[in-house]
Amino acid sequence: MQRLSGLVKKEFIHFYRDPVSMLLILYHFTACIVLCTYCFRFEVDHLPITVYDSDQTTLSRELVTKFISTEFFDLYAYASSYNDAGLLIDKGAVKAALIIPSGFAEVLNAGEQANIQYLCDAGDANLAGQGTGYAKRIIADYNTNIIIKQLNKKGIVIKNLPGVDSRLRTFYSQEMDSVYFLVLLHIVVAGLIGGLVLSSTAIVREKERGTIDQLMVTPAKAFEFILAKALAPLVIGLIATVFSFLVAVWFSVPVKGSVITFFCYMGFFLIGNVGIGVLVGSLCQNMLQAILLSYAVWFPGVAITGLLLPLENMEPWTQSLGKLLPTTHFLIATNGIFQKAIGFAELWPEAIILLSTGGVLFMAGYFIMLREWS
Amino acid sequence: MNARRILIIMKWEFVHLIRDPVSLIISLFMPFFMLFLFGYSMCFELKEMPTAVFDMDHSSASRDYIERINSTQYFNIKFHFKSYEEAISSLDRGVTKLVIVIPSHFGRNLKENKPAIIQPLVDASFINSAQIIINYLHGINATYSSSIITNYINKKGASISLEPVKMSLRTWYNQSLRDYTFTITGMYSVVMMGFIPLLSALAIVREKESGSIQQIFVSPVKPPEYIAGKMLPYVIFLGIDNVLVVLFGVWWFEIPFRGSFMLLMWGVFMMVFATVALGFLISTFTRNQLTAMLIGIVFTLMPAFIFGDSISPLVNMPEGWQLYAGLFPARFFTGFCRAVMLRGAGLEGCWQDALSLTVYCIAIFAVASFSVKKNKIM
Repeated sequence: MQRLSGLVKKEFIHFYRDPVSMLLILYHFTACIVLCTYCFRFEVDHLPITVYDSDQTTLSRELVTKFISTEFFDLYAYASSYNDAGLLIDKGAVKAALIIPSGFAEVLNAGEQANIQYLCDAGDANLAGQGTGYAKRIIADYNTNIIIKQLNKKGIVIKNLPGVDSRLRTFYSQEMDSVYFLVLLHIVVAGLIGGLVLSSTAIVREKERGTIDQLMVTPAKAFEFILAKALAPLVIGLIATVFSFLVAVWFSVPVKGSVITFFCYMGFFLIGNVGIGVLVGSLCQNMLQAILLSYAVWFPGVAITGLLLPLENMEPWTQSLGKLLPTTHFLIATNGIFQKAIGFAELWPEAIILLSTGGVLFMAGYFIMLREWS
Repeated sequence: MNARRILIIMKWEFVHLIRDPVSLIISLFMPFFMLFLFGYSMCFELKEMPTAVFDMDHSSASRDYIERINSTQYFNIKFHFKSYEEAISSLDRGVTKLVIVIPSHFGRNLKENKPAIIQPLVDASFINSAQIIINYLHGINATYSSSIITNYINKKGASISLEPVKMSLRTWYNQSLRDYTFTITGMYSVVMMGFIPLLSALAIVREKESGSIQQIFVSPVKPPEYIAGKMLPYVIFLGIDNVLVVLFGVWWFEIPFRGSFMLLMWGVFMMVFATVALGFLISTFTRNQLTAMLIGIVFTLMPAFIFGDSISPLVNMPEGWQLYAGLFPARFFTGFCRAVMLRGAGLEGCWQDALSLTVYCIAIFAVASFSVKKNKIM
């Protein structure tokens, strides 16, 4: 026990002597989130568009105003011709163009159908989809008003058109949605780096420098050595998570469940990652390999674990692969705690999975290490 | 700069690379792996999504409406709930993401030509996919309503156009609105920015850690020659590798390639050059490999995600941040890539991005070379 605490203390001294790395990890847990919040927005607005209105009547101008007065569309410039509008899209200056042909008002007043065009640069399918969705809604509203007016003119008094009236209700979405997503992204990445990278590089560094040989000739056992390498990143990770949590609170991210449960699961997540890290560290001979292998593990940990996209929307084989990674289960737990206010009672399977992954991989790393430890 | 000394450094670096085949192979395969993973993880396609219905009306109209939704390729009605509590609990447990509640006067309202209310309950924990679900549902409702309105207008004998203003949609460069097109072209930048600076930074920092960089200092090699010599093997290896990555992306994800291959290759090499130089710049600040990796993640990978126009469009950002984004080459390469691949642009169409990229390369190379001070133990 005394040997173990000595080794753990040594680890902390190592980290203390490398303030730059510690600061970077802390930065990632905190300032980076703040940065992202101001820049990362999935809801689209201020889409630059151009308008070519060759009708120039009250009615056409009314329609154009409906478009550009929304927050969604930003008028970049009026186009002087159809080709001009196309050129602006080609150049990338605007993402869409609204084309109103001449005779628009005339046709409408005669009670017939008027045609307009909406051209869009669909390179960004998300932007294009949202843009066309908005445009369709604006036109649908415009049409509804015209139809009602025309019906009224014919003596059919009606205030609302028949049809389906959809009253949407969203769940678990808060205004802080993007913020929540970003906070989660950073906590996961930081947890991966803190757990996986710190533990694996700590082990490999000693191998590379040869200091591991010095440890082998001391009474310290391999198990104590590895445990110390695992404990220090765990503690550091948890402390840094406190800071992340404070940032989340500062942005008013609501937490419906228990904060303590969250920290427990963060601990389990770190344990899972540290297990992987120990295995990686015991396998690699130099830092470059360790870093590359860590990358190979933590990228999937971000990509296919349901962080960027829900698991159900991925191919089946990707889903199965994702379920092998600790991040997936941590996300299930965290989403549950933050948004659905569930706790250990419903989330105990996740806890078991995280802990056992960490445990099993830790032991695997230990046995590999044991062979080298004379 | 003496060419002979540069060549010697180059040869030395090649030998180093070949002596660690494991790392070399991992380095070469990582970009493919990353592209593959990110490609599949970032794209959302709505297909046969399990949906639930809570029908309080049980009229032929409500059943017809439900069938309409079920018959699309987007939604697959799997659950029929009998109570509001069941509906909410299914959302809670994540069993379904959409529950359509049909109140009891639905059929009657439709018959009486009044607006018939329905209430979709959407799980919006992932706002991206929720938005797409909402949009598709909206589209289905609009189509359904329009046939009702048509019948109504015809019955009243009024000859009014059902759709006074008809908007025809022209989508350019990505006719099928495939999410992959945007994502993958953005991911090239992320893959290059996230990975290459790490490799080049580690190349120098490793020498610092092991002390072998002292041997360089006592030789006649000047810092710019050292940087140039170290850079070229990486640019060659990684340049070829990343051209292959781009081609792999085009082939595997079926992305259109409408422009000139030579132009794209030139762009890839420029970007690789810029990122390798960026890695060297990072190495001048760090003394150990762990720090180099962390700086790499914080100052290259994350900015590539945020500012590289890859996940979140750059136009969304406040003006000031858009300028700051210019500090990272990711956005120039993404813009260049999309112009050449999707819009088939020649040099006139993408010269801004191409020029920015070139200027960036030269600037970073200059800064990196002159930051390496020989007699200082960094």
